[in-house]
Amino acid sequence: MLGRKGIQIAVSFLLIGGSLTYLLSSSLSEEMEYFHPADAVMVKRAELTNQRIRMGGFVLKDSILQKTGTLEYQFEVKPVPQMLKYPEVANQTMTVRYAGVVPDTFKDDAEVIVSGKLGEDGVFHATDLLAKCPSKYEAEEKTKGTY
Amino acid sequence: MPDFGYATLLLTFLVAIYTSAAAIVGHKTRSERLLESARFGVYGTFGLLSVACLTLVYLFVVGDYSVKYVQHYSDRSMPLFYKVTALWGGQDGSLLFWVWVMSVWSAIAVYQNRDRNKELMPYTIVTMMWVTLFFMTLLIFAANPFEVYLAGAPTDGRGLNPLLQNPYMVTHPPTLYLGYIGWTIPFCFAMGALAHGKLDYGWIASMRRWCLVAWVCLSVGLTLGGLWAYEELGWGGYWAWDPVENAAFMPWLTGTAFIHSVQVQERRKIFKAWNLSLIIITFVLTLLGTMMTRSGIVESVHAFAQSDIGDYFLAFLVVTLVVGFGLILLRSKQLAPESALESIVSREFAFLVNNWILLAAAFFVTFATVFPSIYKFVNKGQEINVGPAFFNLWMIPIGLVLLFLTGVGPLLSWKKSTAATLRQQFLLPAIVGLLGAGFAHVATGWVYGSSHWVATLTIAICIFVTTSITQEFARGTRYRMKNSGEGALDAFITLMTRAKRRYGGYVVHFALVLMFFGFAGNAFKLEAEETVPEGKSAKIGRYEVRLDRLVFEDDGQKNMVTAHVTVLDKAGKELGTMAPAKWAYRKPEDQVTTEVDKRMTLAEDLYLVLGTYDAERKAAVLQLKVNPLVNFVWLGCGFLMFGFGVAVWPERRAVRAPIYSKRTAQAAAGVASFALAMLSAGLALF
Repeated sequence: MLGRKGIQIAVSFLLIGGSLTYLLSSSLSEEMEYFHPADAVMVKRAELTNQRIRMGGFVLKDSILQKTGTLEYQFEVKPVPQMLKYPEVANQTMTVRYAGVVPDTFKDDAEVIVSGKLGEDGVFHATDLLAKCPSKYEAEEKTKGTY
Repeated sequence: MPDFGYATLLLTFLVAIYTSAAAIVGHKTRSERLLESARFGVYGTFGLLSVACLTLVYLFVVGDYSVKYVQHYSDRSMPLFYKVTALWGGQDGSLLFWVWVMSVWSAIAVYQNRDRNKELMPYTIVTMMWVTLFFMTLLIFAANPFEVYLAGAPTDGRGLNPLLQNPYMVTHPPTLYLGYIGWTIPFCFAMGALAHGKLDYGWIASMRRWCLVAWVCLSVGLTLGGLWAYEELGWGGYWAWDPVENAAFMPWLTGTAFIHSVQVQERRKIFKAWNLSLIIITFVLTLLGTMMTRSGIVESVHAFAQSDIGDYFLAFLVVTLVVGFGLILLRSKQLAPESALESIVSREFAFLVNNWILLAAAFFVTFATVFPSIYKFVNKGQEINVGPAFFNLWMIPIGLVLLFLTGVGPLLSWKKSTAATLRQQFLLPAIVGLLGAGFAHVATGWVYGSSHWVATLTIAICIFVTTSITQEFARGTRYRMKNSGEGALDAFITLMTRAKRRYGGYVVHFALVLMFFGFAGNAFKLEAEETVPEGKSAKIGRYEVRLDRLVFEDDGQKNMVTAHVTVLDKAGKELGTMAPAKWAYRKPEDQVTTEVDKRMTLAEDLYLVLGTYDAERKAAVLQLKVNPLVNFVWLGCGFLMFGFGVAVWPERRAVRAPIYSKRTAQAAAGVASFALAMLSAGLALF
């Protein structure tokens, strides 16, 4: 039986729980960033321009340019072949510009995740750069059996 | 040799099956011999897994690159030291290491309880063996570290990631594992108690010290992880809410809740079902954490490769939750509270609030960590990311409330505090805390040029808690001086040794105050990036950093570029030299590491990173950071270990003959883990 005290407790729980859920979801939607693979970004270029997104792909070999004596970088990102959704852009690349200290793992063929905005100039202006070693593709090799 | 290792794994599997069967049958038939056999089965799994680990280490040391795991995580040029520690460098080996650590803990727990807790032990052993069996299944079917190349074995390995070739990576994972897996044992005892139905305080009493050991190892492990990130990764911070960090932090939160709420059960015989739930949740969170970090389900900088072990984990997780909470429901009659909460102005209620908040924090961190995975699953592969800002938004207020409670809880009495005791207890800390707020606001404004209200609030709460702890110590000491006529210092020491758990706990609370004081420093960080030619200098805060020379060297293993700089203060006085560098290893192919250099003082660190360089113009691009108060975080960790040492130090009574051996074993376990924690911290610092 719900006594008066029971109702009080239930109502306060609902109020507290409800307002917390509301706060949680509203703050979450503000802090959330959408991730798109490089091929999807190339295909949906128009729709994604000027939005804050994260983009993932591989660094095209020999494409890393660095303005001498600065931390300004420009490089090309190509889609990850194993996760390709839009084969029509498999051979295209996306130009990325980034200024700042790059992680130690950032180099040719590394898998990168850049966050920033796709500008109207068609260049991805990154404010954040994550890189993973190319040697980390372990699971695939496992299924292939030998190396 | 790899076959021998694999055979050991299979044998462990069989022994674990036998042991759980022997424990059940022995319990049902009341056969002492079978139960003893089950105990030896536990020691047996420990022995076999030790052999398996040693075999893998041996393969690393001799460099048998036909073994995939060895080939992936080592190479010929690596020093012996890192060849040995490569054991936990990747997924398969770290799972083997996990279950080995668990077998060590199990063997110790079973040995300690060979004559005690007779009713609980059979089912406790069964639970231990089932957890072992789960990991053996993984190792045998999905993540075999002894797997070999079928054809064309390479002659050299790929080498361990240089970021992992660092003393912290030697101390940080084992310490973290000890703590993480340490929670498995209380879970097994809880399940033993639930299965048997003997649900008094007994199982908790024998696990109390154990939980503290697990807790302190986890805390130290987390801090060492922060130190590693701070020294090695070069972004100048120590905590980024990365899923791997969160994985270890989640059970820390619920474990902390458990350590507090068992005291309420001890005193007031309430919260029984709650404590059991907490320990089950803690264990489930350690599983979830292992799954997240080892299966690649969650996107993370340190995640290992994608693999299929996630499904195994998910299944085991569900089984654990269903069995655990099913048993709690089944035993709900025996779990009824034996007294009631009398007032909300009582210590038990403060503990309850502390528990709610810790649990909410654990829930929040878990939610925010797995949310991207759930979102991806629901929205047909659309990936999202939740950044550190979201975590900070919620965890800073939660952390501050918890810190505040560490000052409030000890001031309240059990059952009910009267208005008079409230006044007597809170008057001084409240006044000092309020004055502290004003002082902190003015002082930070004066020192750092501006004040920040979150930092002001944090420092004010730190002052409040410190006053409340000091008041407790002072009152206790004065009371002893009056009663026994001892001098102040003697009285203080007797106080600490007579109520070790209580005063050890206060020291740990003070350790947290120090850490939060360190966190507050984040509000006043300075950061700059500058291109500096040789002979010129860059300015940050009260420092001037002059680039003297850019030096290029090669030691055979790697190319090294070092920026030799001199640090001067505003008046132009030389403070010392620093040498941030960039190293490019030959193996693994062109791996670059940033060698941070920092100038440490208690007040702040000057943190220098060589971002890049221009060999022609002889210029370095330096990233300069000033991190105020950061060293208080590490200092806090030291106090935390000291407080733990006080709390678990064995009672003097323990030396009496009949209980001698058990107590010594217990004490030895406590001392050994403490020594290990100290050792790892020591190693980490030098």
